[in-house]
Amino acid sequence: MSLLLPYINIEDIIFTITLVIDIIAISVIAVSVIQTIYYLLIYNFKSLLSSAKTTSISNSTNIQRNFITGLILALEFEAANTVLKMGVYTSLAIEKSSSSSSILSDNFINNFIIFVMVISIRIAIKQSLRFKKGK
Amino acid sequence: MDGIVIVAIAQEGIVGGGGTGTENQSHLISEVTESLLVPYVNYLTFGIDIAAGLIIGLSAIFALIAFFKILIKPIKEQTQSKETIRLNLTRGMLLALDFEIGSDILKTILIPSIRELTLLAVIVGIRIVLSWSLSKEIGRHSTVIEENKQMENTSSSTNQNT
Repeated sequence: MSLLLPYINIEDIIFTITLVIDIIAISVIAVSVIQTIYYLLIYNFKSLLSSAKTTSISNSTNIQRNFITGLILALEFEAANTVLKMGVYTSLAIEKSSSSSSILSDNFINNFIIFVMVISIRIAIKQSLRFKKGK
Repeated sequence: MDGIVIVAIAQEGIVGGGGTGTENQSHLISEVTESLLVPYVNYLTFGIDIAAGLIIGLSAIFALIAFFKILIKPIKEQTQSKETIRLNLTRGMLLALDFEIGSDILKTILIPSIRELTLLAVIVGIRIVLSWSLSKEIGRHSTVIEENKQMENTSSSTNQNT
């Protein structure tokens, strides 16, 4: 293990995992979108044929709710990614502090600030989606 | 390897040293402790980070499999099942977050300057807030599930009575 440790890079492993999770999140969004379009087409076609408007409205609400739940699920995957990426940030911070200079570069700090902003935007989107679903 | 380092430091402490004896001794002790502690903490944090990554990766893969499984269900059931999948993923994330917080606490030992320590404190703060909000969400969801179960039970009992 002690011989292997210099050759195993924790950042590379975590970046691979985050890449896989990103692909999963994208596929969840894609499937949700395709499914929603498919259901909307079917229900709209059915509502055109039949005159029952109340059932079509409740169905479209259900479809919308299902779609929003799919989006929230994808955001949850992204949140899992965020947790891992924060681990990379701390590892990099320690690596930088222990290797050459003890002062972190401004670029690193800027990246971190942007990262925190992205997290806040994601949280805001998630809350708004949940509020919409509750409505 | 560590043993060699310790012996070398000890020899240096005995042979060399311009200061007083107590100063040399304290310097020697701190160097020996550091040489022992740094690789040990590095191994531990490495293992914990890998464990957290694996937990999140596995939770994500299980969630994806469950997501594909529910696609054949009717749309109302799908919405409920998606919530359950999300909550399972959240539980995995919560566990991984606890691991990462533990790893961060260990990393504070290695950090020399105040700037990095501030950054780490910010990250730990974000993690604690995330973990608190996730646990709150899980609690909320479990109460909703219990309420739904109770409602189902009462409706089934009223149906039986009628």
